[in-house]
Amino acid sequence: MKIKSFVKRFFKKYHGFNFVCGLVICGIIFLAAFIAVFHTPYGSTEMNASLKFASPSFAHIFGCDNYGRDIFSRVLEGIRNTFFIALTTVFIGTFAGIVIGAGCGYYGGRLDHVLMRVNDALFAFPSVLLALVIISLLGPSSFNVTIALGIAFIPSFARIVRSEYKKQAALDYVQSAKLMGAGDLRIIFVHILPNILPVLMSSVMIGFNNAVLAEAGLSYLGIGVQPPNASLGRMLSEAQSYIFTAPWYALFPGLMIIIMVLGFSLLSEGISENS
Amino acid sequence: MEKEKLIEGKGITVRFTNYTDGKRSIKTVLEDLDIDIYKGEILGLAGESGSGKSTLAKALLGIVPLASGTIETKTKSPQMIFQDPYSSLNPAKKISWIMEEPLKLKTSLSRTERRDRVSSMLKEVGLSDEFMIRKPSELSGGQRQRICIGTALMQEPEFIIADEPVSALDVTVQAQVLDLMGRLQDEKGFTVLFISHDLRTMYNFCDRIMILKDGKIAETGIPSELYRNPKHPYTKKLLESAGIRKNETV
Repeated sequence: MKIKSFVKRFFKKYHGFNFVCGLVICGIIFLAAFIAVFHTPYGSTEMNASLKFASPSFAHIFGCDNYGRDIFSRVLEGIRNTFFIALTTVFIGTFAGIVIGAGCGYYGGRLDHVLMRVNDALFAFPSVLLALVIISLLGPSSFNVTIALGIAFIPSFARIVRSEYKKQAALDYVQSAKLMGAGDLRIIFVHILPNILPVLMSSVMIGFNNAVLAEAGLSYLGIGVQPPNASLGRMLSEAQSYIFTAPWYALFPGLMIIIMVLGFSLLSEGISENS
Repeated sequence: MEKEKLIEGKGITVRFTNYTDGKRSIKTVLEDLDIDIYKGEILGLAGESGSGKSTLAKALLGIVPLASGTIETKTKSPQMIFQDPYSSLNPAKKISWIMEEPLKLKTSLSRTERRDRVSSMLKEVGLSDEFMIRKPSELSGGQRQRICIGTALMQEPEFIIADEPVSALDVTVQAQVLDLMGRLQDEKGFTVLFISHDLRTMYNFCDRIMILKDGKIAETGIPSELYRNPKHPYTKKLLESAGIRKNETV
């Protein structure tokens, strides 16, 4: 009963074509990533020479690759890897972004100036380039890619959060909370944070998209997820040599990246429409 | 009978520093200003925009640093009612949450006790319990201002600064909110610094009126005296522009 009314309230608040479509697509992707943790139809690294470049069939719905591995299983695993890397990246970026942005926007002053100029300097680099620099220092692995992308995403979040906090801190309700005797931390996280959530959520979704693309790009360059583990970007880069002999090899991973990005874009659009 | 002073300010000076085009300019907003606020009175503070009314209020609350002067206060938790009821309530929270917040911070009451206090306070400001689950965006300006008054009173303050609390409301609602403030002031006996530029509402509402001009006090007095025989030319001008006093020079 309670769940039902919650669902009802949720959809009363959030509705619209973009939001529902985005939610469905993201739900399917999340489900795929979740299932891939426990089960894939075939082993993602299981090779079979007789199935080399097998075209899509009922047994292997996405076909097989140059080692005779089932592409569907590898796509599932790729979604899982990409999804978790993007999720962790966004988490690092958002968390650090909130801490830095909230501190700068709420307190202002000299520290704000210094941190924001540093932020501007980092912002001048494209985030993928910044990630490349960090990876070249740490060495390629999926863990390092996550850290590198996470750091590369901090500036954009920090800037958004800072401007929102600056706006909110000038409002009278913050003054009134101060007079009530609320501490700064309580004001920052309990009073102000809920008011910037809609903006934050929408930029988190866009950030997630950028993280998916950045991860795919880095794996494509060969510095993300290491073989034999599957990643959508790496599969694309392997598939490009066989694009004419086995077009399905490139098609399905590419399609998955598009769908993933589309889903989160729609969700972001839907959230900003509703708020 | 000498009344007890609640707040005694002497020689209050506030300066703001501006940086424009790399040049430093210092603006004196309040200059050597003395203010006494007696316990239980409603003191009106009038003056044109930019005369330093809000700055004085902030100085009394300790939000703005003083360049010189002293403020002695005997009150612990001064409260403020703001001009714009649309930004003074947290838009993301429900009314019950907003009104419970001071209790959460200052007392160790249980959840149900807090709810009871909120409920009785809502009654006192003339609203029903159903407002508890609403959000500020669902309320009208007058209702919001009532909530603000209620939230301020939750902390049982001795001193409330009302910074143009009714100027954002329409005339009929203004009267209601002022009535409410007056009634609650009678019941609870807190002291009010009522900031306004509307001399007409102040006449009935305030016990004493202070006219502020360019960061200095031009004149102080009880309304009936002040309105009948203003001594300072600026007071005369204000009364004339409010339509209370006829222009003698014409």
